[in-house]
Amino acid sequence: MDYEAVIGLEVHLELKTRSKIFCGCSTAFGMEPNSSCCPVCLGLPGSLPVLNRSALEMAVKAALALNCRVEGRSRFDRKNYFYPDLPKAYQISQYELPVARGGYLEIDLPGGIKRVNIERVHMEEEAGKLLHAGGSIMESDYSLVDYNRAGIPLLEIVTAPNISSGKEARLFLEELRLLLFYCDVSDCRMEEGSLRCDANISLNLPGAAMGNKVEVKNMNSFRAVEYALDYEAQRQAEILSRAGEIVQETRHWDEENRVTVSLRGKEEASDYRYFPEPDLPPLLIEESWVQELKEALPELPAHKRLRFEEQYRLDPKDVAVLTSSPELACFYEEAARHVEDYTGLANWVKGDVLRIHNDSGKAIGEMTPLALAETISLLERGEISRPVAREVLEEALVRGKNPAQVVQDRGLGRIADPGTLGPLIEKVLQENPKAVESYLQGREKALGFLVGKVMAATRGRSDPAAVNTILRDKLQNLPGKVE
Amino acid sequence: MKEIAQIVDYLALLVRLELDEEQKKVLAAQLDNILDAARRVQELDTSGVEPTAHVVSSRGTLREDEVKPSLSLEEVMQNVPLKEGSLFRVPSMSGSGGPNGPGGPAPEQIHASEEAGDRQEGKG
Ligand SMILES: [Zn+2]
Repeated sequence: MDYEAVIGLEVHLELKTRSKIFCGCSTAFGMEPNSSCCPVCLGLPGSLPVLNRSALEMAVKAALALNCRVEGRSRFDRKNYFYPDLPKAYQISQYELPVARGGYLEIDLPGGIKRVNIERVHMEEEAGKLLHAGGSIMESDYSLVDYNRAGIPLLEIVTAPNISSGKEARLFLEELRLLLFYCDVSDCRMEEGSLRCDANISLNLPGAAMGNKVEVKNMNSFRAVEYALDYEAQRQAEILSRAGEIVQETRHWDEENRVTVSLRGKEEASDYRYFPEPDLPPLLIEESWVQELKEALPELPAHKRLRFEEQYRLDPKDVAVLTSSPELACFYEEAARHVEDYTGLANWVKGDVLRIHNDSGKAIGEMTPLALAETISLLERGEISRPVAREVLEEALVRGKNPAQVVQDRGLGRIADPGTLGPLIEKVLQENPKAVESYLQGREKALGFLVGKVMAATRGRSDPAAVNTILRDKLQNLPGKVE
Repeated sequence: MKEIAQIVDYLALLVRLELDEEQKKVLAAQLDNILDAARRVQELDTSGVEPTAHVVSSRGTLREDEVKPSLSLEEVMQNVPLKEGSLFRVPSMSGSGGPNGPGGPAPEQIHASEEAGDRQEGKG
């Protein structure tokens, strides 16, 4: 019997504001512990939260990009729980009335496009960070708390349970990350904790009622999400196939052992006693502002991919790489304005530009696309060879130089001058007597070998036509040549 | 009243307070009064009245996304019973299950009788 997996995701991501959601404390990463705290984010008596306009704007932008309906009226609630990562003993969140509902995000599957529905999008504040002192995590005798992260704006995105596999979940997260990059609202770095994902998964036979849900937590990478959910689906299928029962529970992904582990018995039923946050008025959002933000949204990844395929007639695989960041896509398009061979250009961008970016650490956004276009033009006009072009491009992109100038300054142009090539060619002839003899015996192929040697001696800079001519000439007039 | 005693026990668990029998008795009586007041409000006929969570209906003001000075570390730590460097020190939460925590056994309870002053860092 084949079970169907029913998966829903809960994604938390940090919005990239400069200051926290309800106070002016900095959100910068890596500050001294507890040095970015104030009465508001520490929950000191008498302090009052005021919503950060940018946090709201980013939330609305993300919601719009996810095709959600932004609610004209939403509300903040207190989620009460007592744990040292919450200085106030409650987290300001949105419970009953989230800022947006009912959207979708499409992912590309081998069988076609799948629409993953979004149930809701809401804002909340991040909790502080707990560090466990002492030996192993389970044995530490006390914990330490840093409240710098407390109050950083978070967006929670909840999908409908219409994801069917670990792979779909990973693809959804990858597409979501790309979308939010494009909207410039989050860095979505799972390793740094700016994006977290929990999942609900149940199994059922086609057409049958939904099975018991298991919540899976502690997945620290997109790959981990995929593995954990596939593992969990298999685990549940095994239990069901021997007529067992799935326990409704929370399980943790154990990265090392590649299994999900039950937290049974260690968990208390949660009772957050939500109630409306009295310190914040209801959140009223004007339709006209939403409309403005909607119109200001950049071209989103799915649209850009389609346009690239059509406009530049590129392979979808190339397009996926070129649109993997808005900066790279912009770089390609700028260069494409001056280049005719779009596929060739795509190869340059996918290959050399990304390599140069990785090697040098120079941001794509700080590189000049025109430098690539000019380098390609020098290459097409035969003024430089391909290896030289790659060298020139690197210098031009990293140091912001004009390619033609680099060629001139470093003497990298083609060598066609007989005065320079002559001695080089003579040296090659002396060093390769066998090839010379072979040519003289009528084997044309030997000439190619000798040309190659001359090219290598000049690191590809010699003009092949000139080398050919001079080489033939010298071979014709070799002393002691037998007719 | 058994029912109110159970509520007190449950709330004490939620807020991680260990109460002795005497404290529970006092709190049960107070809580009963509070709940009684709420029950009386609930008797009112509110059909056709929109739920009012806030008395103000004005649109809230927003603040611009500007970084303002935070408190100095000295001020932040001023009333901290226990610390280590610039970190707050609290009972072990390792493996315990706060909603954002790693999950595991319940966190140790902080004893209600323990005054902050008793837990001041020893040697100073
Ligand atoms: Zn603050």
